[in-house]
Amino acid sequence: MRLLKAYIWKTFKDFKAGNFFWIFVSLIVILSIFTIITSQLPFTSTTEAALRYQAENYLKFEVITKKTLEITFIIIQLPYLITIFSSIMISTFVLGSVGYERGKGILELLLTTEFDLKDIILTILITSFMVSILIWTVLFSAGYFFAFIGSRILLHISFSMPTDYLQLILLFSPLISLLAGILAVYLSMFIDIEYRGGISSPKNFIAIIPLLPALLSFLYMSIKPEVSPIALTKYVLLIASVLLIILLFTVPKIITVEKFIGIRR
Amino acid sequence: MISVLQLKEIDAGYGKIKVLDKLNLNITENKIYCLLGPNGSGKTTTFRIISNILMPWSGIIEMEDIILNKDNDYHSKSYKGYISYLPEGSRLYPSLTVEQNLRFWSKVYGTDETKISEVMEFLSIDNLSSKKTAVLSHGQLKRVDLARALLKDSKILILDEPFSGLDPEAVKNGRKIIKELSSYSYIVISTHVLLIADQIADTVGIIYRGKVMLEDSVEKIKKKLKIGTIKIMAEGDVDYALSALNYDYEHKEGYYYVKVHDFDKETPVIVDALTKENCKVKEVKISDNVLEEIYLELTRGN
Repeated sequence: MRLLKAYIWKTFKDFKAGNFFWIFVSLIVILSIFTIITSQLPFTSTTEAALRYQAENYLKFEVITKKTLEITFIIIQLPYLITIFSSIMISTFVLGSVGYERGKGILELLLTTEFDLKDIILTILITSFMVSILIWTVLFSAGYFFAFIGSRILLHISFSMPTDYLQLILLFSPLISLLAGILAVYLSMFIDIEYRGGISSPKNFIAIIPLLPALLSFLYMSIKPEVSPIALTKYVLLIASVLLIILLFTVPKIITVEKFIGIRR
Repeated sequence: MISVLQLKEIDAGYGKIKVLDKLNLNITENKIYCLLGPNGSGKTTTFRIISNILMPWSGIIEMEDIILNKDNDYHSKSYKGYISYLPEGSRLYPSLTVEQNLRFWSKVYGTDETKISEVMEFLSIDNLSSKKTAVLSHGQLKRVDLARALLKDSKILILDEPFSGLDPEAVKNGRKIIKELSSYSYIVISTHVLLIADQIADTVGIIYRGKVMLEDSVEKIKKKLKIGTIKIMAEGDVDYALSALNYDYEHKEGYYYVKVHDFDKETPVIVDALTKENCKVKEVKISDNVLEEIYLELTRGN
């Protein structure tokens, strides 16, 4: 518990010092998208027809106007946007911070304390979870504040949120972000020191792995739009649980201290 | 002399590479122990074993009533509490300030946070408190890293190459600090700077190819091993006399430096030979860098 407290304290100081920038950047991106879309209507006739269909039958707008189509576009895209953005930011943060700690030998120093490998892995995992939840919540709040509340208060447009949409944004999206966090922890544990220098670089293909759950599930949803988010959520939960069990009970036994802290003679 | 920490017959390494080979090491109540050895001899591995980071393949670690061996998987939380380790190279978070870095480790060690200011004051880094470690110089980083190690209330402080990369002034200050610290903890350091070892160590261990070849107090080593260099100031045909005796020698700054294997036996022989050759011997003394001679002799591939 003491290690966890210290680690959370350090992570949030670190987060505040450097990685807060990423949240700021994301907010700007979301706001920019929102501004661009609401200022013009750059849709093709096919997209406009699809949006009109979704606005009438899915979100159940009372009156369909140019503004309601813009709002429909944002509302429909937001879960994907938030999930992808949070997965990128979570993996960048986890790979960067844990990779740095391994590379610099800070994890080696932690092993000189009363805590063992399992305690350290658990601490990293819980901290990564907290970071994941924080990042997701910030993106979710920012996105929906402008899209949902803004549309009702400023534009006086009301619409309903279907159950499967709520499942998608409130269950599936945060769970995918957590899965990205777990995968990032895995990668940061097993990637050799030689590759660690570039691990947080967007050019490094390894950094794509934590994004795969988001990318693959959205691809699947595009191919099979009838699939329920709850059904997908169940699979994600199952995969996340299996990965967690392996990480907590198997990894500390199979990973050697030399490998974990990247000892080289 | 009572043992504080003993490594007995330790075999250890990385993967299949064996680094320590039946290593024996005994840290006694002499306050400062200095581990000397060339690169790759196993100094850092020994420190990792002592710090309980790396587990030995076999052997025993003993400290007071704690015995670490294969039966307990070399694990003991109370043992870890006795040891504080300062590895070579900085282990700080560059995005955090000095004070934040120390606060983090204080939380990890569970020590009172008031100790942070005490340690910072002791190492004269209190003026760096709000600076991010990314902007500190090498010497300043060394001090902050040492402050981190001192936050842990330990009985033995392990310092791996604490003087590497420091300028002479910083080395002088570092030596003073280590001397002061030795009043509170047992200090184990590794260094390549033999002069420093000679100046501050109470006990020296010379490690080579994973074995401690020699371990004793500096004075006893000097007495026990008679190899080294005799420094002679003489006038006359000294070169002829020394060459006739087949000695390996060097002439610089008015002195002849003659390498011998036994000071007691060979010094009178050399002086006699010089006298016979009508040389006027003005001064004969054992060279100051005896430890270096011993170190080089022991690590010269045998």
